[in-house]
Amino acid sequence: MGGKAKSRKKRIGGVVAGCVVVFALAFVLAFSLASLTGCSSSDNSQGGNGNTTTAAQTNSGSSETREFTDSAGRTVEIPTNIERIAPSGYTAQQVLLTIAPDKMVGLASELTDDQVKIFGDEFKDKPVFGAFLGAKDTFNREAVASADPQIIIDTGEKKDGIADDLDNLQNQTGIPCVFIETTLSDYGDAYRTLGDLLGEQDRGNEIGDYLQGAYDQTTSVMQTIPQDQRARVAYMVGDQGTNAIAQGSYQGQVIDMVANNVVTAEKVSGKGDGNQISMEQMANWNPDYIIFQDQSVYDSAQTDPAWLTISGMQKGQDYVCPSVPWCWLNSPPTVNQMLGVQWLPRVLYPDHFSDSIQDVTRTYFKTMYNYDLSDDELNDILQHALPADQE
Amino acid sequence: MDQHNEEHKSGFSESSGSEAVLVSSHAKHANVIIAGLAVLVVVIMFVSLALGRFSIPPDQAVKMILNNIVPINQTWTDQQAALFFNVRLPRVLMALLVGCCLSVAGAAYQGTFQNPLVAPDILGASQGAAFGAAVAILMHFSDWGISINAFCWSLFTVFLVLVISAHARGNHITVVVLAGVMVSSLFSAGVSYAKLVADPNDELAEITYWLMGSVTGASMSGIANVFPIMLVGSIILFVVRWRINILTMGDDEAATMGVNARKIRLLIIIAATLVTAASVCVTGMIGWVGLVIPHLCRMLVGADYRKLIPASMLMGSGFLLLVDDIARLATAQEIPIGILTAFVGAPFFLFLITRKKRA
Repeated sequence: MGGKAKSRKKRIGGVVAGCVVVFALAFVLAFSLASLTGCSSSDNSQGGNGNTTTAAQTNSGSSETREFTDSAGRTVEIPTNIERIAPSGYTAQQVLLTIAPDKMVGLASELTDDQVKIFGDEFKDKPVFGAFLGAKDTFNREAVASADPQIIIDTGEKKDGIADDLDNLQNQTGIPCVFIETTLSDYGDAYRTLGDLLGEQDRGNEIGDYLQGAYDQTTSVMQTIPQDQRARVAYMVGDQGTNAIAQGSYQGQVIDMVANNVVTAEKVSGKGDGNQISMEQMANWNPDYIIFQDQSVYDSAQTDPAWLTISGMQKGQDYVCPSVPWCWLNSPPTVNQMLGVQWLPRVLYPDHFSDSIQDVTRTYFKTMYNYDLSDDELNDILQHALPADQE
Repeated sequence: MDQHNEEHKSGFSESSGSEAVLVSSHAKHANVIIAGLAVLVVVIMFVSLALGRFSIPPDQAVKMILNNIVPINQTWTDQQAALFFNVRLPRVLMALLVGCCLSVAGAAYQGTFQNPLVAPDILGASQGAAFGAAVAILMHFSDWGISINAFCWSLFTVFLVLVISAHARGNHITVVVLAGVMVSSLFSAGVSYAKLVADPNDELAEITYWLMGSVTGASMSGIANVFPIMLVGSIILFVVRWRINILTMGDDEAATMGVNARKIRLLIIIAATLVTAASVCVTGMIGWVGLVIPHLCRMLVGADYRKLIPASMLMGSGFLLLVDDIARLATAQEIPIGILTAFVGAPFFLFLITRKKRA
């Protein structure tokens, strides 16, 4: 009996030791994860907590509030003077980086090295809050609040339930949240609204006018090209390049605007990550232009016998969609698509435009990011993205 | 397995003199452990409430809570109150409740199906909920709509499994588990299809996060809605817990002791399904808790379900709360909790297996 009790004690001791080991392991794993996702930046946000809170108190002491009606129809009381903003997710991050990067207290996702080069080293140290989606997401409410933004801004497609979701977030964080709808055809309006919201009217108008002009230029050229004479294009995405963005899908708006997307899925897996396409089907469609989202897929297609039978490959009309600072055609579909709106028609119908792809790319980077592209950078960005005679 | 047998024997011979002392010393020992767990859970709860990425001094937090009972001069900011009552407090409570429910359901299922590898989702409760949630996300339901849909599909899935197994021939337990696995895979195919047609920018991400599980969306109103269901299910399991001991001996043994195994099993399945569905419908899929915690408790308090059920409830609560603290504190971004429970659960399970071999 004594032996049994002893062995039981031993067993419990073993279990306890096991628990300690497992928890230790869990913490090690959690913190190695933390370092992966940018631990240093989060330390910053905590360290700066005391300062930012006092700053906010002096701020809120002097500032008045006003009512603002957002694109979801919600009336939100916001500070008149907004100096500190936070993006709700990936698309808002991109939009805010263009109009008011200096006011951003954090990011939705860490910037890549290419992006840091454009937006500045200070973005390396900003806390990363994750993206807000609704009930389940990675948006850390307390971390956002401790970075002390005066407002959280959401942008993008207006979906059902957005008003409820934002009301909820606003209740949770005690920070006003607003939604600004952005559509491909009307970025001008979105930026003017943002300019008004942030007290950056001049900047909002500047970007708004520029984007409206760029969009109108492409539409006016497209009006001169009848639908049946437009280029027949396939846009391949995914690691293997076997998925295609179908006609009529939200991701394929730019292509539908300037070309005939050959990929017509009977059941558009719609907004989805592209429909999986067999090479036999691709041979049937036989597009004259092929755009690959991924450089490595483009490379492997050059020697792939199946791809080489396709008209676009034989004519040398296969391209890589540029992806600096983000993909120009979709992924995520937000203001970066306005690069695609200018780039793709100049690839497909170079004779209809007086300016070059290089020109519009430089202008976009200068206007939107206040960044002067060097020749080398421009060549890198536009690798495999120019018509043969312009390379 | 050896351990099981040992416990069964001691369970049988409760009245036979020589073992009676041992049994009562086990029972006493178990009671001490359960009391210890209870204290531990309370401590973890208070520590968790004091911890957060947003600074809310503990004394202010106490005042805020007291303010709900007797008015106190406000020394805290409105934002602190908003975050405390709408983010931190519901989260801590939700983690406690869900941890408790998942592990008690796991413990009950393991006994009922006489299978140590059974987890609360064995009858498809999780996969059914995931399917319901995915469909709701595609249709842009509100948070609450997603939860209701997940809950209903979860119950429906288990109902389907029970109906199918009632019509099937063979060993009842095996048939139920098999039907559960099959129906689960059916619904998981449905989830895959939902992911295929989802918008990758938000819908797909939301479904993915749902599948990884998290307590982020917790709110007081959400808790108020699921708490009654969790309470009823847990009380049932708590009340019938000694009958699970009889079920672990097999249906024939149970019959000789005047217990209708099928009826009891059905009752336990219903109760365990209710608490599981109520949990996953608000948090998404959180794996491993329901599998690992009952085993851990079994090693601490023995296989007697009279002790195992309360021990599992407490340890599950404390465990999930701890893991959720890591999820919200480790980085400025949230880490989905399902990932962390697997990180902890999988190594522990390996530890468990290798230990048994040594013994």
